[in-house]
Amino acid sequence: MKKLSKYLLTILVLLFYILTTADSILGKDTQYGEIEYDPQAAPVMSLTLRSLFDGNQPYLVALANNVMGTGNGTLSQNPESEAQNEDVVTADGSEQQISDGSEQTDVAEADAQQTENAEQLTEEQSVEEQPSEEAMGEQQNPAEGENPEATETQAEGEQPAENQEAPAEGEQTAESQEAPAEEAPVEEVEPEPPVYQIASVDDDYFCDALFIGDSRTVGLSEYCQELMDRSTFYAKISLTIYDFEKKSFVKLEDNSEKITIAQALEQKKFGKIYIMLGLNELGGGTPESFGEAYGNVVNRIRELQPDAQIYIQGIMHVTAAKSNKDKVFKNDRINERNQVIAQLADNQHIFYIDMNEATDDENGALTQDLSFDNIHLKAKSYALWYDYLKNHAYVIADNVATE
Amino acid sequence: MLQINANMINFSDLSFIFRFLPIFLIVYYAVPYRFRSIFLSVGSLVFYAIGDIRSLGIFAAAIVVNYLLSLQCLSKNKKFLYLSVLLDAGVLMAFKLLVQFGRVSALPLGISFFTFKMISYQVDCYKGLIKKRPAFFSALAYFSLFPQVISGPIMRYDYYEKNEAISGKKEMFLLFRDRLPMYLCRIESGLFWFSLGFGMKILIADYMAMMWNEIGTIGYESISTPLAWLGAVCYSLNLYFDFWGYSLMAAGVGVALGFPFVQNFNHPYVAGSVSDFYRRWHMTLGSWFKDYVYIPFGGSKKGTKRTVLNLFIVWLLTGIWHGITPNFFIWSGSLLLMILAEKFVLSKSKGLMAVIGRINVLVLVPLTWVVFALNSFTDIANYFGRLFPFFGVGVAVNPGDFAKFTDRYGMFMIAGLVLLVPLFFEFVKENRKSPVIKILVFALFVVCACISSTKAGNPFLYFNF
Repeated sequence: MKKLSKYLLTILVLLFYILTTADSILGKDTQYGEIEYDPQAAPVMSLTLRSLFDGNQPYLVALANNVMGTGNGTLSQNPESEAQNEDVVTADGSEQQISDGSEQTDVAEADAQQTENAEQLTEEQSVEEQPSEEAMGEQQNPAEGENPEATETQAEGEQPAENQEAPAEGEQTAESQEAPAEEAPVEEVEPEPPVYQIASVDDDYFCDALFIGDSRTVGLSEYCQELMDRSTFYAKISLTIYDFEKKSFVKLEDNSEKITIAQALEQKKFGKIYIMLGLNELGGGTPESFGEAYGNVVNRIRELQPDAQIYIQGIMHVTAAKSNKDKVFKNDRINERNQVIAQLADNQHIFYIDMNEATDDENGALTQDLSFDNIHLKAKSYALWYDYLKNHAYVIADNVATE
Repeated sequence: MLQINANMINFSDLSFIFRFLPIFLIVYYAVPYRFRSIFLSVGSLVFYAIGDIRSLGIFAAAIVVNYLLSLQCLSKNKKFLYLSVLLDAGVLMAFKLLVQFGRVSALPLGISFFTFKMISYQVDCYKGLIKKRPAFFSALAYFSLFPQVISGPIMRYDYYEKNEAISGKKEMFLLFRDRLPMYLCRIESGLFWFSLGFGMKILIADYMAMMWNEIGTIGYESISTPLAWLGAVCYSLNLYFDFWGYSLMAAGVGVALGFPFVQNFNHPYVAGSVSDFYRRWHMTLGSWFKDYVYIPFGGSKKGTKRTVLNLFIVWLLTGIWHGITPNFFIWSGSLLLMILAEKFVLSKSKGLMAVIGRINVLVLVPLTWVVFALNSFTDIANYFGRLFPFFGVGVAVNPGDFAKFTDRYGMFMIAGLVLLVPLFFEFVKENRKSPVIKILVFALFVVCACISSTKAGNPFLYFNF
């Protein structure tokens, strides 16, 4: 016993090494199948460790639980992976995916090539990717019709399967509907819908505004006094478009429990809803799959708040320094996605604005001076964004005269 | 071609802990002791190549040139001593200038440390502290020693000679099964120190680094005054635990290899004066400057004026060693002033010294770290403008920022502040043989390994957008 205690640390570390490596190797194709892993970057045991970090049971523990009849009876912590493997047949989408009934937007057809590209992209992802991968995992839930707790804490890297699935969804619209996001217009005999045009507005325009977004919008909520005084923010670091119905972080009152944005929109009404999302999703999916998810969200908002104006904000650029060095966070990839979501606008209820005009340098990247970390604006630069919003509001034409 | 990830040289990376290190240790202890210095040399050069292949040539050249010159120094040839010191210092200075003016993208890995090792080697040869000409592989292993090459500790050659696994002192006549307990003992000790350093790095330093980065993102002109002070604490903690953590990990690896434990930090923040602080902070650097600059110039033994001059020289060189942008001179200059004030003014009154000395350490030193951290004058001016808001209220300040940062990072900052008190670390150190402590240290190791597995080399992983 004394000998054991003498080398206790060494023995424990050795056991740890052996067990986690064994666990990773055994679970590699099942429980850890979706974790993106590069053998050159890390030892195989990192699969188990990353999974542990996310709060999951290691593969062997789950296995043992099953054998002993304890635990939740599912072998894999990843029921999705089996379900999704069934759904995903081939990349050119000959399968019929159960969608949640959301209408299709005008999304280009995804094909096998795009899937490969997407998978390639995921391999090159920088680590900043983690949150979006997590979000990806959560996106599959409506399609599968299940929403177990376990998936919320899924380890990152459902990418490969996810990428096969998303474009497949897009493929469902092979008939390429020109589906507008809301009620069909164009019956000339009816009273004409109001015409909107761009105008400058004053601060109070934002009194009934809601801002949805990721950490950049969080910054806006902390450093733009005019908006802090008037508007509501449902913004969170690492938020993605897929979190709209999934992530419970909104508190309507100080003491209320956290709900999702979708739930919050059932209860509170807004006149204008601004959205800026997309940066965290850059590492996964395609512009089309992103556009489709975005379209679904916009449709949902239209259902929940038919009288609100929806402002889709183009994703803010990153600085040239970042764009040139990084494989994922590049301005041309941002621009690709902006082009896709811009098409969601109908100028009736859904509008597209791009504040990059206010902050870009001559080469279409975020001006270096305005940022310290190449991704976020400095506190004092949020004024530029706000200014842009004030000068690019859409108001009904005959109201302009009163401005 | 197998592309080896450069992160393998990062001690807190899993590929170092569970790939490089175990393989190295197994081979190291499997070979007869006579071959260990060769193996150590080769392994260290491989380590260097993984980290900075482009500078391997320069590194190898520096080693060979220094070894040859040292032969002359051993023969007490003063000219060659001057030549080699100038050469080593000159190479370091040259690279610093090259980087400053953009000709070279980065300093060669570890150059600040290995050039100092080389200078100390030459001087020790000349002075006879190294009596016999060391074998080339011994010198090579000493200069390239992988647990020390990145950021020190800066050890002298006699430290290298104290390695019993290399000299074979204890194991010459033993069978493997009798040597094994010895090896395991070293590895056990080494793992202990390594884990402590690992914990400091992952659980404190890395979070403080994220926090400091977020503060920079806001813009130093836009932070509230409370946040500015919190930031000074944050950066100080970051620097301390990053460096102390690294030093413990390096010491741990060294111990596992058979070297004695090296202390690089001795609870600097309980120092009673700035002078004392710098006898506890980065001790191997301070001791290097003392032995190779301060004392050769006369130290404090040649009168007050000369003492002041000697201190000036030491701090000037310290400033340069850390960096050649102006802020480093302001940094080291301020420290010099404080040290002089303590030595010649405050020392007259014990009571005054006790109080002001502590204030110097706990308040002024963190402020000097802010200067150390910020390269541009604009940034320094902005930051100090927020620390001492007598001239303005800052631009676009969010008064809620302090609360937000304490919310997010408070836990880690408190851990850091608690560890400033020597009691906790010393308690663990004294009881390191206790099974309970070992189990706790193992738990720490596991937690850190899990966190590290998600980082894949990016310290700002959690900085999601």
